[in-house]
Amino acid sequence: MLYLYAFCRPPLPPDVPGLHKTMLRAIPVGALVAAVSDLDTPPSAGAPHLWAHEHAVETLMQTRPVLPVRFGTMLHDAEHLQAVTAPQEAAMHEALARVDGHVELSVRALAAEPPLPPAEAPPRTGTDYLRQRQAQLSAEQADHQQAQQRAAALHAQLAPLAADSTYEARRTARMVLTGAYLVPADQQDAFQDAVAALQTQHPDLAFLCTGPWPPYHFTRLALTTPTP
Amino acid sequence: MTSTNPPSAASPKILSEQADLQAFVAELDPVRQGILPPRVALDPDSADQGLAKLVLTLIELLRQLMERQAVRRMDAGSLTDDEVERLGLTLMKLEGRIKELQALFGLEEEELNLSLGPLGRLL
Repeated sequence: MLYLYAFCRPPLPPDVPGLHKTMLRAIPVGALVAAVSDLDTPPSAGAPHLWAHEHAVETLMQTRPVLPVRFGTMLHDAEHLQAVTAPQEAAMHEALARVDGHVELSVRALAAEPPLPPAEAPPRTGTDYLRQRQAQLSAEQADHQQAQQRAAALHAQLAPLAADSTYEARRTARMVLTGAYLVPADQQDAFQDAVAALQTQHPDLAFLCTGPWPPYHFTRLALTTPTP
Repeated sequence: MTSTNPPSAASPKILSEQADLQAFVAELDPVRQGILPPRVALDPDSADQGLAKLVLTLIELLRQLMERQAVRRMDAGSLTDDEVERLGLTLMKLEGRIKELQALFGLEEEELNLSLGPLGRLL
């Protein structure tokens, strides 16, 4: 089977190591190439494998724009690869032009542990019970809205510095913002300054900025992979 | 532009100055578990528990849906006081019964939940 790392313009640089001591090879996809290596089985999702995938993609990214593919993408063979990529070729050219000269930076904002809700007296009647649930449900809804607004406000301060961006509000109860930003490679410092400024403005949150990453969130590829 | 990191050292990827990484790592655990959900064990010894978990999860889902519907109808004023009392009592007793069964099968509250992948958690 083929393990897929990324798409880029040809030629593929020589001697790029992949997973399980394999070497990357190129399979033409229209005017582009797919960087693949031959694996018998899908790799398990552990740190060494994830980093091996990441190294391969980053090695390519050092010298050319790439469209990274998410970890664990396997294809049966070259025909299968053609079948899933053929309808996307125009989109891939467009995406390559868009990510050229950019890197992905990730920003997460973590809130402090929320206080435990005050213990309520156990309901004695059915009416009590439903009234308590009613109050809980409307509190949850208000809380949800507040979280959405807070994430949108944080994101709005970073998005103008990025060519493209995407975010998710409250992936977990404490994760206020999980954002990915496509930043021009020469403006990473300005972006980090903006994150530092957010940190100063919001001492109750902890910000984590990581990168530079390949533009995983900005390829807009819809690849279907076989189920094992 | 990019640096090649040895697999063990993630630190060059961290750009923020004062990040308490442990807090973020702890918070990512549920996300990671959501991506790689625990499976319903099918070995004979724990099959009962796996099945009980699935059945209780579905019952709890239905109970919560009914509860939300009851609250909506109460808000809309389409229930008499008597109906509110009876509905509330039924839902309260059902919740108690589910908790008992949960304890009987040794299931944690959080276990009565299923990961729906990108859709999030069931409950």
